[in-house]
Amino acid sequence: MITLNHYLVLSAALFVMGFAGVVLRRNALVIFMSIELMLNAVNLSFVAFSRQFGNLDGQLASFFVIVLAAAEAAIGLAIIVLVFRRRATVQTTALNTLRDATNAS
Amino acid sequence: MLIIVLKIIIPFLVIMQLLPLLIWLERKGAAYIQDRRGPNRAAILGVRLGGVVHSLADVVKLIFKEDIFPTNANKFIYTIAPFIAMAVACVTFAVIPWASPLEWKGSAFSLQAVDLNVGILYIFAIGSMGVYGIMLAGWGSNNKYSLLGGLRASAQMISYELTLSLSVVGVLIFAGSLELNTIVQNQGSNLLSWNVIRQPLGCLLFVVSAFAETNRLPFDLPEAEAELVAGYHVEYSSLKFALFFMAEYANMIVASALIATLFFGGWQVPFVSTETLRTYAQPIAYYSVLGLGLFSVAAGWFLVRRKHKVVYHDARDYETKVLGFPALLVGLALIAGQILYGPLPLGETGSQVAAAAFQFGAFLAKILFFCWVFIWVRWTLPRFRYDQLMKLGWRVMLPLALLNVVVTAGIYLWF
Amino acid sequence: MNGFLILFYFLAALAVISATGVISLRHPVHCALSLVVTLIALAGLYVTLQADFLGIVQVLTYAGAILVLFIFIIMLLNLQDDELKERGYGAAAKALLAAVSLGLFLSLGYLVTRPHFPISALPEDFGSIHSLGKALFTSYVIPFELAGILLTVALIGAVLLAKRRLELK
Repeated sequence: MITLNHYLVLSAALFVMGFAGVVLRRNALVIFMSIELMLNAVNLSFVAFSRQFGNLDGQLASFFVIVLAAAEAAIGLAIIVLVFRRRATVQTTALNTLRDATNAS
Repeated sequence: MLIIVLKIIIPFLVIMQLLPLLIWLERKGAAYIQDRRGPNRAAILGVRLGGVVHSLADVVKLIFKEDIFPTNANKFIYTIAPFIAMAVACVTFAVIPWASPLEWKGSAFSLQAVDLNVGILYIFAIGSMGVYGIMLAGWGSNNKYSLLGGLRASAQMISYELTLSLSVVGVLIFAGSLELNTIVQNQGSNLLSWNVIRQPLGCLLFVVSAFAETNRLPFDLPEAEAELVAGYHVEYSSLKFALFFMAEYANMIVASALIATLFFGGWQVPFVSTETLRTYAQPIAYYSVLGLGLFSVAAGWFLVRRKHKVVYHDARDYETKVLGFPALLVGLALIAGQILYGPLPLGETGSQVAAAAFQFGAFLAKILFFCWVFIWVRWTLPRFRYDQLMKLGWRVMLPLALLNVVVTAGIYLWF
Repeated sequence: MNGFLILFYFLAALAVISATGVISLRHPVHCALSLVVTLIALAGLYVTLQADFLGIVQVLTYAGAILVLFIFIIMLLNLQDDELKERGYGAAAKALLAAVSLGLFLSLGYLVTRPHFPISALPEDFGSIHSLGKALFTSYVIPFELAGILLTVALIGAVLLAKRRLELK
């Protein structure tokens, strides 16, 4: 018997993994993917709650999250391409021009 | 359970049988358009079947070729890409209806593998996975031409997928459902109520986007042999290449089946409704078998009487006789059987099955016709330039598709 | 019912394993492919939750378009090997991160499983396209239009960002 808790625990696990990816990785593209992972984890709990309460609001919310993710991917990837054109790298550690000059690496 | 397995396996086998035939059709069609003879050498004991045997020779060649791995290729991705391409093409077939549902003991028995209520969306979703096969092949081969092919394929397929899905919306508004069977039934058997008449612009946009999605000329930029050698599959050989080659034709069959289903009445026989077919199943079956016999006799007679212009002095000289005499005899037997025994009583189930067989035949004829259109266009039109392709997709076809949706919805609300 | 449980565990394991791939594989293309597997597993889970349409939309837009865009960009940038070497954290920082993540997971898991929500009876056409469409165009029409505006703005923004020519130094 699958209960709501099964889905919620899975959702929590995926969310935490996305969080770990954002903190751990230095590649802007992979950080982006980890954010997508977190969005999807939240979507899963939306849909699970929707099923539990017999109410479509949760499904519609995750529908809007998908729309949001599409817009975010378009803009975010355009920014990454711009950064790559200017710095020839996608490492977030390289983006330190605003740092205090005395401490610059 | 057995029935479900059969319903999944039989369409798959039908595609598999159609593939070598299509490859033959492509070669002969190209030869016909370019005013040459096409494949006519490969023979089994002198039987060439007008070049069909050449497809068999191809299969043998591809199986025994060396399977090459490029040195710096990513092994896993390089291996999995052709399988994705082929699997996507085959899985799509599951939701396409082949004939009108049979009514048996009060319950409908649909003649499609799975009757999903999101039918057409399922096809688009699986179809959108198809781009991965090409992209991964392009990236995994570690070759600049492959990479360029993969890049072009991904941009092209995303761009044209928008038009592909939007051009169907008009059809969905008329049918009020996403199920393919409902869409077919909604069109009816009258030719004037088919979606190609009700949705001419949608039909045109769908056909053009289907060409782009299957990467056929004039949209075959991902493989563009003049610029990119062979694009995404330049490094592939042996069975992996065969998988890509077959996936292209399987995609063509799927696209043709979709065009036929959505816009050309699917399994509907023109002007003959399912009820008529079922009521008159017995005479129709009788006369069509008789006609088949007559055709077989005529073809056999033509072959037997045919004189060769060239004499080979080997088994090939007797090919027409070997093919002609059995055809003649089978035809005579069919005619004799029909005349001696008269129309067989078919009964309730029998007439339904006979009607379904006719509808299946009509559907197959439509699929083959659109496959021929694909081939015809390929050997007639030149390739687009890349910026022209993008301009056509985004500045012409997408606005037209949106306009089509708005106008269709407006007309539907008004009347 | 048991079959559903097996399906759930299979899809959940697939999702977790491929999510591990997303955050641990070196090359962004491999990460993106793992993410595709995660998304497809999640789409399967949506189908087990009677959200068929959402599952299809997930495969169609997320796996079929957004991730293709990701891979397209990765292939376009054509990152070289030295670019892929990340200046990673030391072992101590990694252990700390693992501890924090585990703590976060445990506390989240504890929090979400504590309250008991009664399961409600499902309406007749739950998750069908008709009911979703009706809700989307009546009670959710303003968010729907806003989402449309958001997508348009994103489209224009992406075009503007990508069109700007920068002279490389």
